Amino acid sequence: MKIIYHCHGGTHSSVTAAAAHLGMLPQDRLPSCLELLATPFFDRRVNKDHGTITMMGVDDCGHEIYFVGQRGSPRLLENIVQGLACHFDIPARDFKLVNVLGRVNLWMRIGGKMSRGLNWVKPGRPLVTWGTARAYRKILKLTWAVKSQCEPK
Amino acid sequence: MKKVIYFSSTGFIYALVVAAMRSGRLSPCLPPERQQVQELLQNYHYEQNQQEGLVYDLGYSPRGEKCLALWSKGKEDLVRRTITSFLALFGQQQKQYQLVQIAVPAQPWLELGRFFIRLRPCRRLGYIIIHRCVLQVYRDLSQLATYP
Repeated sequence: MKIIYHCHGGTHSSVTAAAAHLGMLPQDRLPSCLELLATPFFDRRVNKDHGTITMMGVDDCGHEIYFVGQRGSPRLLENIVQGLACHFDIPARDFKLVNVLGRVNLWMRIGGKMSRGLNWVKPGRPLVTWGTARAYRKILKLTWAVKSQCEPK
Repeated sequence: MKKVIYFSSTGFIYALVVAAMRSGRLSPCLPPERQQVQELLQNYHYEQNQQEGLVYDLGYSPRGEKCLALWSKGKEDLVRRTITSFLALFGQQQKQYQLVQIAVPAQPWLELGRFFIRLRPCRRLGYIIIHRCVLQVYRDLSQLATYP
């Protein structure tokens, strides 16, 4: 199965969720800012990457983990993906879309906008990293829920 | 079997009309009557359902291609990348489908028409406005349907 995490810019919460799912981030404590900044693609993607579904890795169960930015239109992404799957005979059980936007806090929104939207990286990156660390518990819980749903029976 | 995906970021009606021309439901040479446009939109429950990104199946062209239509409010780059990357994930090669963007400028009147057809008392007026908007760009749309 291909698990696709999606959020607004596809560079903070969805990347963090994908990394947490793959065990690249700690499962028993909050990650440090350095650990978050060392995560591949974290706070690195730009506007022209939105919509590109990017692979992060393969988990223990063999599921491929992806992330994508949907520019604040989760419904648009879900409709396109589900519509195409229907018309191209792609079984619905072969992929799963997971919206991480609901786990994003105000600090992530402000910091993300500053760093990615306005290119104010110096003040924006520390803020979004701190915000991500604060939201990490919720994101981690989401990945656990996804993992439990996708476990091979 | 090849699929032709028409998508528009300025109005779903355009994507639907071009796909309908491609599949032979509308004539590319003869501009449609208001009733034809109305029937086309009603067949796809457009009055109630104007969601972005829904993929509509307009049937098959005489060459056997499946004609699909979708729209978004702007974000055409996002839509293009989503479609190509998602299909690539599942091994759909570029030659198996054709993505055609309908680059017709947005018309405020079309938006007004869209708004009116959602209101039952103004529905007839909405279809009149939409029909006039379609007629204005029909030549451009027919070229996309004939030579995508």
